[in-house]
Amino acid sequence: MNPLVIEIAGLEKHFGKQAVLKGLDWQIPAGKVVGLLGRNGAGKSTLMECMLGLREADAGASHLFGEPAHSLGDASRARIGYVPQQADLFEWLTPRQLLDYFRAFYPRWNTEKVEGLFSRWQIDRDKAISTLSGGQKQRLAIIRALAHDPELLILDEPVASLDPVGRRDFLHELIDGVIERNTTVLFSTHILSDLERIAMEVAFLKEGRITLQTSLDELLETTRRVSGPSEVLLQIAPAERISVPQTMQGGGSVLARLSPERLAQIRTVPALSVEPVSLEDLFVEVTQ
Amino acid sequence: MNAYRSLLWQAYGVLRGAASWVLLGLSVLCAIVPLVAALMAKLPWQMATSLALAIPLVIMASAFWASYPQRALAQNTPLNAQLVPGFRRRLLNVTVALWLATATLIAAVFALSFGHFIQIWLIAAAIALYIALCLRSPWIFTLYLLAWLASNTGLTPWPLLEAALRSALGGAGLLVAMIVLGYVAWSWIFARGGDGHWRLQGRQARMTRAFRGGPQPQATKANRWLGGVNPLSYHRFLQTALVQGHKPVELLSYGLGPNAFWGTFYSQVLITAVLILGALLARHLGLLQMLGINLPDAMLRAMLLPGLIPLLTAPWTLWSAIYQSRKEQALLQLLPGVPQGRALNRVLACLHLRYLLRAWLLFGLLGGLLMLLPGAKDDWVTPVLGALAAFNLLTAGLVLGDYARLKPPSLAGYAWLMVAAFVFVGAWIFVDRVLFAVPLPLLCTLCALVAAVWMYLRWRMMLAAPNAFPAGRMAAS
Repeated sequence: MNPLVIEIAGLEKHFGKQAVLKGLDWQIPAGKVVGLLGRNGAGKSTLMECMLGLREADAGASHLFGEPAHSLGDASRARIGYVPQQADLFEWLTPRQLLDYFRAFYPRWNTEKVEGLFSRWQIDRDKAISTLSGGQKQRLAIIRALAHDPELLILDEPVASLDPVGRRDFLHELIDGVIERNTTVLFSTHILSDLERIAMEVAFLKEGRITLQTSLDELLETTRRVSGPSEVLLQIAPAERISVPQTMQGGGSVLARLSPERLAQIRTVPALSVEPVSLEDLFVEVTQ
Repeated sequence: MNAYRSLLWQAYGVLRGAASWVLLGLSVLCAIVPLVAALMAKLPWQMATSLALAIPLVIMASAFWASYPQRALAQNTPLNAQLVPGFRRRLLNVTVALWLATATLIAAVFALSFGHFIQIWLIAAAIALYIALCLRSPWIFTLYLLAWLASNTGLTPWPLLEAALRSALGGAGLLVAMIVLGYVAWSWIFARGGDGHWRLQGRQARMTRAFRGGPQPQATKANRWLGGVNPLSYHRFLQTALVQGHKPVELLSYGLGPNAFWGTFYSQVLITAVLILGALLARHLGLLQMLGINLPDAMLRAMLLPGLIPLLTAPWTLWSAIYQSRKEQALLQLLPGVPQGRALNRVLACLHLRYLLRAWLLFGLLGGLLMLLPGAKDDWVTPVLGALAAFNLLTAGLVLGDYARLKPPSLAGYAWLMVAAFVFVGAWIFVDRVLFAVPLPLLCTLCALVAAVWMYLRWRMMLAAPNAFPAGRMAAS
């Protein structure tokens, strides 16, 4: 097993009386590409911020590269790349000034990559950042996060402002330039088609906890919607269910993770119908 | 609730927002001073009572009018003005009514003992209108310079103009003229649709965002031009620092943006110094006399006052800049070489205190040089400058504190600082000139001691506080 890059234990965070994270435990080994899913307001950004030591947790601990997140050493920080949800940052600078500024802090800086991305993504280096479009600002934030070849890349909805071409360029860069270097990537997004293209694993954040984390391929292969009369649906064991049963007139349906043997067994029950599910279906029902 | 009541309720909300406990306390304290003077038989009772009523009223009215026009302008969006039936008309009526009521109340209270109701009414109404006009179009702020120049050149004889107006219109006529002028001006302030209104709204939104902790002023064409000619420009120094390979700790301050940059404070000192030296030189060479401008030594010293305004509000500006750059701080926090925890707080405390104290010292130096000019001991500017310098020193400690629990900056905070400065100056002069002649060295030593203790306490508080970056993250929790 690869060493753990992110290790979170019992993380709790409240905003006033509202509990956002409730004793969250999570581990991500090196080299994994994990997509974090959750509904709006589920606490994905808060989780990432607490994980990076940018917010104080009320309880629990987060370790990155084995060091406590709130007191990361210079060496660990040099290994982290982070794209926050808001891309409108350092608007008083130009892209060139911004990258020159950040380069001064990092021991390693991939100028070739930066120049290549600037050319490919057509960002004017000498225009004030405030005058760039939302998509260009987001691309610039991605360039900044990738420029020092991080070993851990944390992306908080990195493609929210990008058009389809921009998203394709970004995913291309992520696959070719980052994932192939065995970088650990954690990203949150609501664009599930992107996630299907690059994520090895998905994690669902619901009610302040990671309720489901598994390999994406395996999840899509083994998850089925089982529909039928309510009394027959009881044959699906609670441990197999990954969603709350939906009841309809005279019957209902539930999402369940089933082994091939179990799937074959259920298919023999005449009253039950079994259908494959999309990631979108999974998202809707698991996060409900 | 009908529309008028709803609008008045919002105005009351502005007043409540502006009326912090500190401001109220300050008002009451100021109100006590004339009563004490009356007790000591230094002032007639009628005048003392009038002043005791008028001072808190003026303080609260200033705080209100510093916030209300901004709020009203923000409501008068092109959509509201154009599409909501009767919205703009009602907003205009309520605002004009509040404007008239404020001016009348202030004039009535002052007139109780000083008389001159109409003159005071005109001044109060004009000041409130001027603030609103400046908020509508900031370039109007520069008009005071023209007025000052006109009154000093002899080219526009204001007293003659005022006398002519009064004889032509009479006191009541002047009042009516001001009301009509005010209504026209307020109608212009509250635009109604069109491209101009959209541009105005964009500018208002940027200003409001900046005041409430949005991003800092952008590199607009005007800013870039000013940056080019300003030798203390942020961009110029950033470029040099990057080329020279400064250490991460030295580069940290640039990450907080131009508003938190030392050059912003020192520029004011530099510009003021250049203006004063230029004026001195022009007077020495006889150029001013050729233009008919009379520039006495007291006026030269008074030229320091506009330069002091940014310093008066420097703690607010710095806090605001820190809050504005809180999103950027999340990235700064993750940079290698940036100190963490207590070490970061110490670096920031040193940095910001150093900015303010150096700017203060430079101003002190400039003020000291101007005191060498004849007549410094007796003119009205000297105690004002002394009081403002003392106020600056006393408030310098405000830049230290718990950045993690920083609350969003507000216009009321800015207004409060300005009002507090004026009240402090008033109290200083009153105590010094009216009540008892306090030896200046004693007052200065006392202020320096209080400032030092205050700074030490705030310093300890900052060092014990959680990691400063990102600022404001613990304000709500």
